[in-house]
Amino acid sequence: MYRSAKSSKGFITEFLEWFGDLGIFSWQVVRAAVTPYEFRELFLQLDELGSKSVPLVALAGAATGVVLSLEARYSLTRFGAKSLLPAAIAFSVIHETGPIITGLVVSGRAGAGIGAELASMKVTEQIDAIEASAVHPYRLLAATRILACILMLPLPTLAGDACGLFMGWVAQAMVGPLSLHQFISSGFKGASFNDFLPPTFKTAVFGLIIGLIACFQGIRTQGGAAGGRPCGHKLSSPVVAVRDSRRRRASETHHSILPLSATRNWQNRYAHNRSSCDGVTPSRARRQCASRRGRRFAQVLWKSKGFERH
Amino acid sequence: MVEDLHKSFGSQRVLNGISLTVRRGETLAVLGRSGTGKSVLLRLVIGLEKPDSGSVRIYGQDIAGLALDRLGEIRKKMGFLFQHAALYDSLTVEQNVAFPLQHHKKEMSRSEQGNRVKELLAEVGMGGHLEKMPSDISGGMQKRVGLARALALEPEILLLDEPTAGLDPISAAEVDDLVLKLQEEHHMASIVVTHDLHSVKTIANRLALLNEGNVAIEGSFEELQKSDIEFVREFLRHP
Repeated sequence: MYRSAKSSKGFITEFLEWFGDLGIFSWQVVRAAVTPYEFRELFLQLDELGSKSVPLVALAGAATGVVLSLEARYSLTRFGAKSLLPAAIAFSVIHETGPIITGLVVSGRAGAGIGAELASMKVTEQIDAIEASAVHPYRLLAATRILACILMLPLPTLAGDACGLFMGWVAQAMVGPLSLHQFISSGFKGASFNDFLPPTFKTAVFGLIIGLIACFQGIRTQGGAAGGRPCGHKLSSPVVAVRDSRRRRASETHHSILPLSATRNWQNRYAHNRSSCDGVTPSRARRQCASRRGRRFAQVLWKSKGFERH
Repeated sequence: MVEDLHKSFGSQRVLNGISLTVRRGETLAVLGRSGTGKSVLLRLVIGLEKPDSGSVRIYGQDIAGLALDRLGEIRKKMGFLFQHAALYDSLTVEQNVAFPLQHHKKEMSRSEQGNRVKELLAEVGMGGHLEKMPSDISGGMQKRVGLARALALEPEILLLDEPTAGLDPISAAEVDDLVLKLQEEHHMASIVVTHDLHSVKTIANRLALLNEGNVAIEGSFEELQKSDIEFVREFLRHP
């Protein structure tokens, strides 16, 4: 009991220390990043983080588009809302799936890469050598990488979105006749730029989180190359942070994840319709609605309603 | 000049009130058993570590209290050769040596920087390895490239952490000759941390032997040889 209390106290202290160190690190990077700026290193990192992440994000986006398209088709066809399919795919890819897939893939690829690179430089005294050469290591290494993450993340997001939508259409076209023109015009009917800009540019926040945590974990690494602890943190921290940030953001917008009350409202309506039209008892219809597919259907209807309002 | 310098890592006390002075044109060799804080002393001198107490004065300024920008100005006058060379592994040999020039000699054109890099690498006998990566060259060669990088900004103070460790006798003698030549040409103040007594005889004007975080004895090689202190006699008996 005493031991367990002691270990949880140690964990809490370590956790708070980590946050404190992260805060100090962020402040030092901000101070270091003012001027003169390391443009050469920045362009190098823009290329490394942006353009080289595009193929992987595009692939992940394409796979997500196919899965989403096939899953949504099954559910929507069952509930007689097949015509909503392009809109459902477009909105879910652009609003949530594309940005979160990009965040996760980039944090896995680039975030871990940054962390490992800086950790390796730290343990081989290369960061000390930079400092001994009278160059600010935070300015050269951290500020450039963080800024590159912020600036470049929207680019792979667009690529991931485009591939997700395209492969979503391909999956639909393989099952039934649907031209790309029809898919796009139906999917984006009545949509404005305001629907797409915030979800795309919120990935810049993901970039900040990924870059900051990866640089912090890399630079504070101690010990040798085995460094399981820093490496584990490095890989997982940006992923967890991106996931949590997405959750927070998603709960703020009704487009992203449906509020519980709204879901219940649509479930009740659906249950009422089924019981009156199909002769199913209201309780059974409600039970069906409570299933995963029922919730998903309610979400799609809610999205389409919100979409029409705009 | 370091004065009453104390440094601990956790419960381990490494330096326990060291005081040393190095003047321009002079080479001080710091000797001692492994783990006595010789490398820590160099890191304190260049400001990579902060002392627990005491002062490190360079050109009359205590570097422990300096802002990073001001410390940077002093560091530009210092060259540091790390124990394991610490070359940037993503850059070629040429780019490694060009690194300080690109950051601090912006008035130099690309071709001037290139020529200076070639000159420095030729001086350390690495003229034919410009395009190689640090992983493609031996430890001794890496050390010579590290020395060329340390000399890139024509420093007035040179800090060498075991410059001849891992080198064959011929390369070690070449590095010694190079350090001597630089000392004669540029009148640099040098601190050399080493275990190589042969090298010490060649390059050092003065020696400081560390023991248990303190300077056990300071003087010329001959003075150390004449010492009655048991530790000093034993140290010199096992080169």
